Amino acid sequence: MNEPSLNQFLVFSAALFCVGVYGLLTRRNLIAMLMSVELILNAAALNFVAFHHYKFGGEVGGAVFPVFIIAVAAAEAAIVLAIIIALFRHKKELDVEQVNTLKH
Amino acid sequence: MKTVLFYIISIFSLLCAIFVVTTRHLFRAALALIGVLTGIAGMYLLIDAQFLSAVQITVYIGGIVVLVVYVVMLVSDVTQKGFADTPPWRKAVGGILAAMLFVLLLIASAPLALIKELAARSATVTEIGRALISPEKGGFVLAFELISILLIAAVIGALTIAFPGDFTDKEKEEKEIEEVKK
Amino acid sequence: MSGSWFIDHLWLVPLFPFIGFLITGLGLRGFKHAVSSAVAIVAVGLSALVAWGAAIDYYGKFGGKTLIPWQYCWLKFSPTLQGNVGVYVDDISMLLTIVVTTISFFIHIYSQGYMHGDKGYRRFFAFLNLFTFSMLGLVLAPSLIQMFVFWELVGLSSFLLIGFYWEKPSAVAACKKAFIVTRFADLGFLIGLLLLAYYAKGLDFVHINDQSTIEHLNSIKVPFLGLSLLPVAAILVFMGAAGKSAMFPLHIWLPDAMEGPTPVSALIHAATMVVAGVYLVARLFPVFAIAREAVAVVLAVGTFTSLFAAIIAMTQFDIKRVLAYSTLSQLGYMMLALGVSSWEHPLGFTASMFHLTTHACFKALLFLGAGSVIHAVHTNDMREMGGLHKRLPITHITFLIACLAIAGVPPLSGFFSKDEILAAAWYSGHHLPFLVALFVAGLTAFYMFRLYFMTFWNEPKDLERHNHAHESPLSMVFALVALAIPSIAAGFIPFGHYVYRGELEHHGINWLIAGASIVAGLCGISLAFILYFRPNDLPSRFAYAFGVFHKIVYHKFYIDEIYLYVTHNIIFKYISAPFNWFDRHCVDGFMDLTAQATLQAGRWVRRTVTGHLQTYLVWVIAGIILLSLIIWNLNDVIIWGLAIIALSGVLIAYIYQFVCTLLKKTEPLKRIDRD
Repeated sequence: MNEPSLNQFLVFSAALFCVGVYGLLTRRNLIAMLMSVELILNAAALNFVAFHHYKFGGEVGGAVFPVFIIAVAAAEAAIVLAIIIALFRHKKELDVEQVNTLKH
Repeated sequence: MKTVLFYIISIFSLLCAIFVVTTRHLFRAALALIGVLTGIAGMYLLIDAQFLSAVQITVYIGGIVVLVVYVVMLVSDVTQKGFADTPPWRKAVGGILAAMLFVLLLIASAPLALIKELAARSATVTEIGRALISPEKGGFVLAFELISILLIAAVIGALTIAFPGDFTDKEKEEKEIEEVKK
Repeated sequence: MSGSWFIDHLWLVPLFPFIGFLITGLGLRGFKHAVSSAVAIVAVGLSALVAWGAAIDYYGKFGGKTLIPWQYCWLKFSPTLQGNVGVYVDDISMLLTIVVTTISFFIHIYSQGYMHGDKGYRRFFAFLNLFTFSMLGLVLAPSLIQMFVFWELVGLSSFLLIGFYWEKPSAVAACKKAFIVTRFADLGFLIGLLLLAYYAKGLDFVHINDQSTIEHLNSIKVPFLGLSLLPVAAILVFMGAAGKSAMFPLHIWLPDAMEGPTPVSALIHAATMVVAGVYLVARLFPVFAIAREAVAVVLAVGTFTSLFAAIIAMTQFDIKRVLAYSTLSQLGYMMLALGVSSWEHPLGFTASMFHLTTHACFKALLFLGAGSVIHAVHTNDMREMGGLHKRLPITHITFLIACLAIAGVPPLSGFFSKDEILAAAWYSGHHLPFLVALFVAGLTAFYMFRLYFMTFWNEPKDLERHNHAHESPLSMVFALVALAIPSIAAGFIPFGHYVYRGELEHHGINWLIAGASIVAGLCGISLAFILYFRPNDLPSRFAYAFGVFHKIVYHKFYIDEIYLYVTHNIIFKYISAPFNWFDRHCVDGFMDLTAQATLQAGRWVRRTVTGHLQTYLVWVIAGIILLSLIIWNLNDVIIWGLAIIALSGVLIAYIYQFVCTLLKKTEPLKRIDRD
């Protein structure tokens, strides 16, 4: 009872993941969608670390991977924010419903 | 003790996360995101991943979220007043799909916990550092270098995209020419 | 290799007109008229040259033998059943080859003058060459399949040439009629051909005409009136032959086919194509000689047609129609001759081929003469002609020669061939056909001289036309004179020496039969002289005296009207119309419904493609869930579920669209190429 079990971590990360998915599906602002993606990435990273901790067998991959995830998240954030700025400059609009130029 | 902490942190994080995806106020959402990320950093501490916890705080909260907040301030309209609200049916669809996914993940993860538990322990900072730059089996040096290239590419790409380029300049010139003609 | 250059290279004969057709039809569209006619004439001339060379070599060296100098397996249906194309040389194919090439050559020359200034000049020569090619391919066919292919090709070129003046609705109607009637008849030919091919296991004439094959076919019983296969197949083939040769009751297309230009009538509808039916029966002579029932049909149809057409010909006033009915009558004669022939009495076969040859000469000459007259007075109606013998001296003389020839006056060609037919009928013991033929000979003389006197003697009815009439250009006159020579002299060819089947007994001329024929002819001529040489009211009094009968004959026994009634009021109304309705409303309706339901489903599905990022995300997530369920070992349930959802979606689209159609809320589809 002292230590939380692996299963509890998994349930928590699943919940976090689904909240992120919900945000991705419903938010119409690009920045808000970016934040939802951050939630999803964190849920995944937490899973890695939890498995790493509870199923440790000399493998360090589980602890190394979140570092990569954070790096990828940083790169992604940089790109998306650049896109947002460029988009805002051109269209004065961040609503994904209005940004459908590629459809046509 | 740790379990109690886990529950407190997880409830706090989830509440923050739900606030992130529901609030219309972008700045508050960003603040709530800081809350979530801090909670996860706390979780890392619970399972002895101090290094990752530190990275989470410094890079994620100190770097990425600050960048997000900066952009939120830059593009103004933090309250999203100009935005039409998402229609309820869209919210319902999103909610149902997310719930289905959650159930699916629960079902999928249930048997994983039953695998024989080893002595719970996390890698030390030394081990992580070694693994990151080790070229031997089990090392991640290739991924490490690739991530470096990715980051550089992302920086250059972000600059290229966000820099006020030729396109707008040309537009301005054309507009000026038209005005002169008139 | 037969050792004769001409026979070895006989394939050149159809090839030359085909090349001519390609050049005039496709290659030289922008060329001058003179060039295209020159190409066409040279092509046919070369082919005539080769044909004559081959014929001289053949009759000189190989008389009576069958040669196949070139053959190629074109279609291989099964190891035993092959469709061969090639060149088939025997007495009748060589005969027809020289007849076709020679007459075609003269008619090409004639057309050069006749069609002068016509805007379809090049087209005309292209089609004429196409026809010559097809006819030669038909004549030289070594197998039923090649014959059928070229059979249809001559039908096609006939169709194209009858409809040559396609601005005229009557010409369009006539060409459609000719095509449909002959196509209908060809259905019989095709079925007969398939029966023969299936049971005889071969399509080659050499194989089919073989005695053992024929006996084998004769032993097969079919469940139809207790006949064996052979007569059934032979009658079906004869149906095709009757359609092409315009035998009663399929004769209706030939008089209407006179809508085409006159050289076409001369070449196709008098001299060559219409004898294809006679040729086909003659080609399958061994088959018909055994199939007695089929021969009886041939005899009956031939005899009846010759009498029937001759009676109609007496009352017509259109110069070309009279000649058309005369052609019918003479074709009936040839069929009659084939009908009386058998292995015991093969004279009819020779007589038929003989009459075919002489008839081709003098009937072509008659048509060309009629064309010359029409060219001069610009009308087809004999009542508006008259007194033209001074205006058109050469046409008059040649026309007279042809009339004498067809009337059977010695020593012109028609006398000999007609006498041979009468003799064949008499000696084979068919006395009724003999009497009919004798009577028809008299009728023939009467209507031909009626035509001749009304056109060239009597008094000019229309002085303006009469005064403007002038002799035709040189090329036409040349063709007339050139054809007059064989019309006079062809009778002296010892024909039985060259073309025969079995052991031909030589009768010489039986002067009793010949005398009867001459008397009949002279009676007809003198009656025509009394009635039509000078203007008088005797013809109308005769017409009045015969009353109803004359009226029926004048309207061609109302055969056309009967056909129209049957097709319109019975076939169209009670068979075609329901089928049409079913096709329009059920078959097409279902297709339209499918199209509209597809459109509707498309419209529905299109809504999912919004161009909005999040819509796509929804599908991605849903896809992930489905995929994980499938991995979760629920694949059967999922796949069936998906299939049911898709099918019910299709069904819903159909039902929705059907309801929309019923409520008339649907927008009509864009109709593409209906009808």
